[in-house]
Amino acid sequence: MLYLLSKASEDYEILELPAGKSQVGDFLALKDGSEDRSLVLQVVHISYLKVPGELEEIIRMARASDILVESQSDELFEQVRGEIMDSKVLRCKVRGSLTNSSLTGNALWAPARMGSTIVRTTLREIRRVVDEEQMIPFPVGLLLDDGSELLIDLTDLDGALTLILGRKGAGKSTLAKSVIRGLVENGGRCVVLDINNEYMPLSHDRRFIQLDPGKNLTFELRMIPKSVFISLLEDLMELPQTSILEISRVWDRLEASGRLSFEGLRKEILFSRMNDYVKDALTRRLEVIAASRIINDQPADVEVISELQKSGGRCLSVFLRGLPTIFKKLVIELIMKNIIQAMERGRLDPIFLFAEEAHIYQGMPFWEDLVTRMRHLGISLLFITNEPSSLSNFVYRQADSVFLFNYSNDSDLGFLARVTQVDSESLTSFVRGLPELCCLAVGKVCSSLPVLFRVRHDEQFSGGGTKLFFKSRLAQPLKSSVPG
Amino acid sequence: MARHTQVEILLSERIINLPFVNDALGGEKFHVGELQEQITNDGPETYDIYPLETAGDKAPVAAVDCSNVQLGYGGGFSYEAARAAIVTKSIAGDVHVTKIGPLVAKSPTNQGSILFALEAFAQSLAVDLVRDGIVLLDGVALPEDVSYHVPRKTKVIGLSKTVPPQDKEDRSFGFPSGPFVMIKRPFNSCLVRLSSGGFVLNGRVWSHQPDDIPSAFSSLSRSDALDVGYPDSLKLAHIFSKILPAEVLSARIVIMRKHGVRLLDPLDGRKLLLGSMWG
Repeated sequence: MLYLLSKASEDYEILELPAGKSQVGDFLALKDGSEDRSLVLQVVHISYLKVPGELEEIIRMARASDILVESQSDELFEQVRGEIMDSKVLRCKVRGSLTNSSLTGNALWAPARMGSTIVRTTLREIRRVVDEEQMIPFPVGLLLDDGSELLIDLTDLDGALTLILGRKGAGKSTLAKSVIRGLVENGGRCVVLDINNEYMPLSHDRRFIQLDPGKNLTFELRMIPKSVFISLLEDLMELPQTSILEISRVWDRLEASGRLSFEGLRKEILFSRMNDYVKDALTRRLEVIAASRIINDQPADVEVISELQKSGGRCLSVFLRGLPTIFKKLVIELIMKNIIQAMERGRLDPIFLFAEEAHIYQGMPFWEDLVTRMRHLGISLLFITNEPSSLSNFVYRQADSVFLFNYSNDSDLGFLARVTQVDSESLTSFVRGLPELCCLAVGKVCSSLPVLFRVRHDEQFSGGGTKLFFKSRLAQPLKSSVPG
Repeated sequence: MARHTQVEILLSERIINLPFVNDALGGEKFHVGELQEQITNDGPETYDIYPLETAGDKAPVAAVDCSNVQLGYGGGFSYEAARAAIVTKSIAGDVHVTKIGPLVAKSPTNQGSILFALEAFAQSLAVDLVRDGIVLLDGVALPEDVSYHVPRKTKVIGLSKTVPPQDKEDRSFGFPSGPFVMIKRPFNSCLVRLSSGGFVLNGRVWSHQPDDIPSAFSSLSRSDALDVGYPDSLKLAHIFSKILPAEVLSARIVIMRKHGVRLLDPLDGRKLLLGSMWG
């Protein structure tokens, strides 16, 4: 049975007597007497009821543990005493108000203390109306409260900024893969900046395309706008201004004569009359680019923009593992500039961009700029990272939805409590104890109700899991080390 | 076992049905104490001090303590809970605790307590449990009106938690520093220090041989663990007999469930008359 104990600000204390199986994250409906309205409460902390003399009781139990104690007392008395000592106080946060089955985010009223009743409820029950209104429902996992499927509306990701955060091995990419599959199956175009080359479909699926820089992902110089190429040299390769002016002149000359090519550019610089220092600076940088085989004069095997222009769902995974940082930056710079340019010119429909550990290959100003313009461009952005502090406060403030996996580090939790929309007590309580593959979802995707769920494992992708040395060793029969 | 005919024992169906309680309720063993009658109150007042002998045989010990608490008032009746604990310690050192109760007594307001009856019953049980051993009681007075048969070799020792004035820093103040017993005759009331460094306690021995007092305390000091001079078994009996607030609450809930009586808090006359600050 649940009883209303107290209320302080938006916190309610509920007595659970006898103790049940309530757990953090559970939902309760606090029905207000005769009124047809309920407060939606969520359990954020569980403690024992403070009973006068409890310390003496516990010490007595401790003394009894090492001696034989025989009790001749009333059975019902012993049962009630046990129930009182075991009873729990559930500290709950108000998550909204249910009136006529309609959920509103705020609750400006307080229920009657004695006349109200408290019943357990589930997210599915609370969101019944919301779920019915979902346009493209997609199951991402199983709710921790009742084991039912959590459906998110994929349209909630459209034009939105979504963050997937968690420690390594917590299940971030498992969730991302599941979402990608849902988007692709519903005709979405996804680009994944894949830091670990793990977004590989297990079986061949023409909708999933791997882009391996220097192999099937190359850029024909002729197709790269001059401004993009120049900014590559300037921003990524720190080419001095005098050299920029020189190569700009060379580029214009070659373009005007119809001889623009990567090899042409190299030869032109090599044999033209210019300052030796400038020539050397340009030559060395072009050699680096040539070595990457990312920019050349061959038509690309897979052309990113044209792939994204094809009808039907698509997922382009840009493999970045093993690439030197400068080439990672180069590839992302080229892809993003191409995409943004195509979008600005109206040649590309909206896409979903999954950026894993985005801070590694682009500076935060780039991403902040993208976040500012994403809605106008048509990019739905999903950041996936295990370092919450790698994203700026600006990014957090703009986030529409956040998926949080386990964090136990106090500084990470403190940081997240400051920047996410969840109160710090709920966040710490929910996130610290989350097992592997379980996460907390907050924001638009779950109608602003903090939801705990176990991520659905997508069989369509391989890789990504933690590789363990001893796992494979222990799978083999152990050889006896005893001679003979 | 209830002394007052108007007292009704509640919450104890299981206890009442126990064989040893049935025997006790038969009333055969309850009669006016014989041991008290052996004390003769004439003669000059003397004080004799004896050192306690630390060497010698151990004896089994059974310690008894009882506690009671007012549960409240309801339907014109007063409700009281009482519990007894008997802690036995064998010569080998094995400890066994028996808790009896809480029993709940319903009686017309201010019609007496079941504490003494339960105490006497628990003491008689303890005497049966340690034949030829030591029965340790809390306090230096036997329950009134009731007594029980004590075998000749059994020693009944009472120790009071009300310690005589003494210096906490210098516990030897005014007394021998080692274990001793000081007997005030002809009343046989004692001051005793059971262990070196322990507190001096008020004590009493009920024995068939009044001259046996020093040997009774010596035997106790050898047979039980002593914490600041107080026997551990008696401390345990106190711990296990105490009725804690959670148990008071539980008893009130059970009375409501079983008997449909919602108890009101006991009236605190001091607070009512003097106010919460001075009461």
